[in-house]
Amino acid sequence: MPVLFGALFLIPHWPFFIALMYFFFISVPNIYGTYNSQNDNGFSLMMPVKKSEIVKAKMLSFITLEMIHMAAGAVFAVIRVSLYETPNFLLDPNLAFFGVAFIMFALFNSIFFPLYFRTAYNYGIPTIAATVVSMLFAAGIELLVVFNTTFAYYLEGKNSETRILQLVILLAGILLFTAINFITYRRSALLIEKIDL
Amino acid sequence: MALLNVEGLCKKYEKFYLDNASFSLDEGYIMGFIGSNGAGKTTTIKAILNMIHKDGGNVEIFGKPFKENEFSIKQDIAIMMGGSNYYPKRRLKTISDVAKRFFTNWDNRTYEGYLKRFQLDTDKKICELSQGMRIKYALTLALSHDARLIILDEPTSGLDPVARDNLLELFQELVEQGEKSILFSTHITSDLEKCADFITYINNGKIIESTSKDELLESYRLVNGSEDDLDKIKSDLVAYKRNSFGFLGLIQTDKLNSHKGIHSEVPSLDDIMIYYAKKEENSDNSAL
Repeated sequence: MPVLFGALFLIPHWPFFIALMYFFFISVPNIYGTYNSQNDNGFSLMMPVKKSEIVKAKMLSFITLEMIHMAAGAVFAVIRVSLYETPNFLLDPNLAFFGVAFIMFALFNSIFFPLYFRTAYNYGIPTIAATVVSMLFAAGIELLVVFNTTFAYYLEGKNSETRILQLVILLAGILLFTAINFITYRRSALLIEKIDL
Repeated sequence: MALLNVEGLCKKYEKFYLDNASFSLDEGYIMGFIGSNGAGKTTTIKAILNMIHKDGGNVEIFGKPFKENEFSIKQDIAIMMGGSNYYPKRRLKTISDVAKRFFTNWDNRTYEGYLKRFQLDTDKKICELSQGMRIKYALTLALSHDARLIILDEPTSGLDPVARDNLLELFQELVEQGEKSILFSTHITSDLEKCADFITYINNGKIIESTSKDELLESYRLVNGSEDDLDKIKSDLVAYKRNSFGFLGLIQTDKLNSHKGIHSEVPSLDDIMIYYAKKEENSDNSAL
């Protein structure tokens, strides 16, 4: 799946955030639906783990999948840049793009997990809420790139000054991703202790 | 040493309240946790193991508070909550492969031994097993990592009489050395009569008795007599049933001393459960 979605980066003019968001549309409902149908919570409770570690396990596996999607996207983004001369109408798949993508994933996680761990069962509303917010965020960024020339200059520029800024955005994105996920984990761990599994 | 010590455990549901459950279990004994359906046995066990959020009380296992040492304590506990009702389309060997990685003391020889004893085929999928076989598989997983405290929720329900007897014998083998303890819940009193050392009786969310089996049976008497006798003894009885000869009732032994001449005999565990249930029914009716 990550490879298929990564290949979407080769489309000439496209909002590439959608390639990463297919993970929310398709994989998330499937994964969490399967957890329910297989009674994964029941199995986890038989194992010698703390209840809060169920949160850690689910978040870590989720984040690993997100990273695989990012990596596949990055590979195809590199292929794309070497193939096409013309830049993307919307945000180019450059370092800044991936920095913003990290923030988008962090945003999704910070909304999905606390809502999901209120019941550790219902995933519909958490998925919808988190997807809507991520989409609004991504759309906002893309619109800024199209309509705000300063924003576009800094995020898409090809000179050394802007390149450094894009690298900084990537690093800031990764840091924010780590921090937000950590806070999300703490919140979700407190929530799961309150519910009856 | 008390392997398991529960004090003041409380859990409130909308229509049920587990009220201050307290009991303890020493090393090397089997405790039967008995109560009718809906009495609170599973709720108590889940609250002890932090599967549900408790509203109050303390749990200590191996002398350590459970909450702070959950991870290390769980390595030495065997948990079985009914049959294996997870991952129905997976083969037993796949599930075992995953489960064994969690336990530092996993013993493959013991595991293979139980598989053979219970005649389980690891190539089968969970959904292909009968309910009794699923319980046996859950037991296999629970007993294969040298646990010191074995907590089982209704392990004998769904088993045929032969398997049930074998299982109770197995429990006695496990505690023989004096290092392990078993807590198992059941509503089948004959299981307890066969192998339990201690009995904790719960009814409607309250622990009625938690004592050795002999002491429990000693502290109650089944009495019978005529209608006149009933009038004299009614207020001291736990509950009674009228019949064509008079009445049949349950009374605590120390209260019986003030009623000389009434015929009494030692009750069975069934009798104690039935009369307590009748008492609840009467108090509900009088409230209505």
